[in-house]
Amino acid sequence: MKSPLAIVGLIFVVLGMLATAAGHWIGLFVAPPEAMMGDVGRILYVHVPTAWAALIFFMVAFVAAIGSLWSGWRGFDAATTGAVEVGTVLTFLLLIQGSIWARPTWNTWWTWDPRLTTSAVLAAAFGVVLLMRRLIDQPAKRQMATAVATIIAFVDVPVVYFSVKWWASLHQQASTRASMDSVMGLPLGVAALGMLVMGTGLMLLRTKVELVRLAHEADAPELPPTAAPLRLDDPAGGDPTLDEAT
Amino acid sequence: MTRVFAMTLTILRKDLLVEWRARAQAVALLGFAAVVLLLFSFAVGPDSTMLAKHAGGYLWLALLLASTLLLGRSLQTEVETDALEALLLAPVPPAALFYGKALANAGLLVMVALVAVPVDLAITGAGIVENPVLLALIVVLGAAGIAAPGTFYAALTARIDGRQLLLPLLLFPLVVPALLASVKATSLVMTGDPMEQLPGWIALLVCFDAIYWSLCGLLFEKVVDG
Amino acid sequence: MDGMIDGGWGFVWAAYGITWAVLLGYLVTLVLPGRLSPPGS
Repeated sequence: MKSPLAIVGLIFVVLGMLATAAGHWIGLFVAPPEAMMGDVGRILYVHVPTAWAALIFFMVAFVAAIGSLWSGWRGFDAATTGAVEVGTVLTFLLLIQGSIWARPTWNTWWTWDPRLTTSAVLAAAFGVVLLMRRLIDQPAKRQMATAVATIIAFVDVPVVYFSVKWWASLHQQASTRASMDSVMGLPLGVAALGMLVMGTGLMLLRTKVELVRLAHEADAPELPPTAAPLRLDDPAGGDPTLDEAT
Repeated sequence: MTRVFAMTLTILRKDLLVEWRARAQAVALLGFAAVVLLLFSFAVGPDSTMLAKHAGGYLWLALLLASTLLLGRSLQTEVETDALEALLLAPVPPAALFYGKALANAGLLVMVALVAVPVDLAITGAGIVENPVLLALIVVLGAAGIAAPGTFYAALTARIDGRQLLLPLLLFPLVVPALLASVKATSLVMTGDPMEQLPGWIALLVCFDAIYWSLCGLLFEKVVDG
Repeated sequence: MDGMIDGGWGFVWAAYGITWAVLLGYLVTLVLPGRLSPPGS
């Protein structure tokens, strides 16, 4: 816990949580019910900041991935992982909140709203990047694969959004959301800032965790060269797949 | 530039030749697509209006599922025999390797579609397509949209354990726009296009292809280096 | 206020509750012993 990255991360998380809680408090207890949605409209104060933060962290991941790919520096790799993971967690939250929002307002748990659908596609696309990381043992290759898949997934964001928007709008009228009231600005702004700071802190912590893991992996002693195992049924001796692994 | 182009054609020729020599596998792929189409029809039931309405969707899901089998083995020969390094040392520019393989995969997907489209039309009772040239254009654009990121991810996952699962997981979310556009455009060609929406969907497909054929070609060097 | 949806606090609490629970839970997984500093140091 002595590392500056972890300390800064924790400070950000605490500050961000305080700001988010303040924004949510105003949204839940001070702000008047939303004109059309009533009290259900208060979900917006958690939903909209989550959406903004998720998108920003995918953007951060994209930039870090480009740096990671062209510099090969381990810090960028850890930062990409941190940003993708925080963005994915927020996107999953976004889907849950969106479902909860859709039930009372549109009378369904799921609708092909472009934003909801794009979030689902994004959660899948970035979630798989994290899964893929777990399956690659070689650090250099893992760094390359993570960066490349992150870049490709991020480039897909606008394409998915516009295609789904177009596709859904031909089926049903475009979903209308509550127009922004001026009284909504304060809790939204405070909660959004808080989410962003909290997310940054979580991302820094996750980056530190990844750096520790990568350093641990790099410090680990090399495996001794594996001798070809004696195979009685194979006259040539040895398993070609084992040679490949060394 | 001309060298990259010539190399691309050489790789394309090599891959198609390999496919031709192992044509039993290609035939099996055609059978797979046909069986998938049949299964979709069974799953939805014998309601013929429903089947005809969704004929475009079945076609593209069958092609997408077939593509994962096709892509999965597209680099397997090279990886298993360590020929990838030899190819790069030859030297084949990485971009030429990517474009050659992606073109070969797109071509094979179009070949699968040559069988899948008639089967789809027959099973779903969607009838005769009035404008086969337009349908062919959509099939080519859609196949290209699957082939470029598909070939790219096949190379990325070629040496990872669990690639059979990872490749579709990476590919499916990515090709959602291409899938939407292909299905929509195909349905419009099959059932008529009273509201003139077709050009828009084809334009979307062209954009998707342009983005991923250039981006994947650009990044491929990093993939084969790593 | 015609057409305003009545009630629905249950949905609001569910949305906020799940969000905070997941974020706090995620934070806990990050600060577990051994994750921010190498094991054995």
